[in-house]
Amino acid sequence: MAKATTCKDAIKALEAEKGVVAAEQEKVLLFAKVPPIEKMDGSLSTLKACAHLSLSTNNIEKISALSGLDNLKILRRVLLLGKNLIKKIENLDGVAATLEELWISYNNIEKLTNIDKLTNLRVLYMSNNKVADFKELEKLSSLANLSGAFQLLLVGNPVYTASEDAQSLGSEYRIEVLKRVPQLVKLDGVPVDVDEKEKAKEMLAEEAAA
Amino acid sequence: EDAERDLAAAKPALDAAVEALNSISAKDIGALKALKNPPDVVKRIFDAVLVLRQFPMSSPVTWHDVKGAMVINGSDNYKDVTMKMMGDTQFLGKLMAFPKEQINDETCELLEPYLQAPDFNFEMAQKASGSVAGLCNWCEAMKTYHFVAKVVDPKIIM
Repeated sequence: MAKATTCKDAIKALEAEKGVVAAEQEKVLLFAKVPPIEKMDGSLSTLKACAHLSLSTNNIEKISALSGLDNLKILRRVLLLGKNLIKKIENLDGVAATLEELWISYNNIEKLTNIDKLTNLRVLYMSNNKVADFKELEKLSSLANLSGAFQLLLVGNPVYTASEDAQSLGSEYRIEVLKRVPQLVKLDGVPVDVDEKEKAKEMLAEEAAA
Repeated sequence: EDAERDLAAAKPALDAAVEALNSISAKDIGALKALKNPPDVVKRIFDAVLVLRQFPMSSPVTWHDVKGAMVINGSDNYKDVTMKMMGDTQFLGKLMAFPKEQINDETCELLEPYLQAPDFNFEMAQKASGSVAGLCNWCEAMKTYHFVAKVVDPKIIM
């Protein structure tokens, strides 16, 4: 197995290839490095202007080293970690207050631990992870309250694949998700419609009464 | 009026997608299924289709050298998920009816490492695999559609 690419080397290579200073870039694309990046390291904290950090299609096992990125003040603030080997949402404190979108599909996340710390989050793409319990989604409800509009992608998680008609409007799966995150405007790429919202609300009321 | 103009801009991408799928027959898929070890580019073409359909894929990411270029290794997916996808008699029909308005920016980025390979284009793939090479064009067209169509509905940021 070839040695991994370090974030530091990937940043250097990007600077050389594009003739830019990485610290000044709003969008830093470090996806699909050959060999893949395995660790997030301190060099990421030098990306002071970065509002869109992409580390997707690598073999990162753990989220870390994002402490210097708390200056993100521009545009959509997006962290891309799709297609890695991440098991846990953690160590996001450095970006917690500013991060708007977390794209983390194709990882090994089972629990939405710490997600409530991302107080500015309004898009969570996490297809093909390991979320098996609808209860995990309750951790999203406080976020959705704050941002007013929330988009969620859960395709390919056990909660989704267990349902045969997960993608259909009004499916049991969609209602179960909406019961936990009533503020969703889009689920799995499909806009949430009024009837679904109403149905979820009714079911919640019935459960509360029972 | 704006929406009409934007849709007109997206039309070439949609036409290209339809044309790409029309160039593939059920027979082509059948012939491919019969191959024990299809050309490397074919495995990656189908990986790209898996990404667009948000189907499961194997991990970790590995790369290997194919004719002097480092490309993502797609064989792990090929054996199980892809063969199953091709085994669906509605496979091409489902691609025809693919909900392209549901594509998001993340999907396009996960697609990028496949599209960037030097042999991931119709001409190169056709030499290796015949008509299923049309799927290269289909993937590219889906990505193009997404970025053009994003302008159509500014309320949906993704």
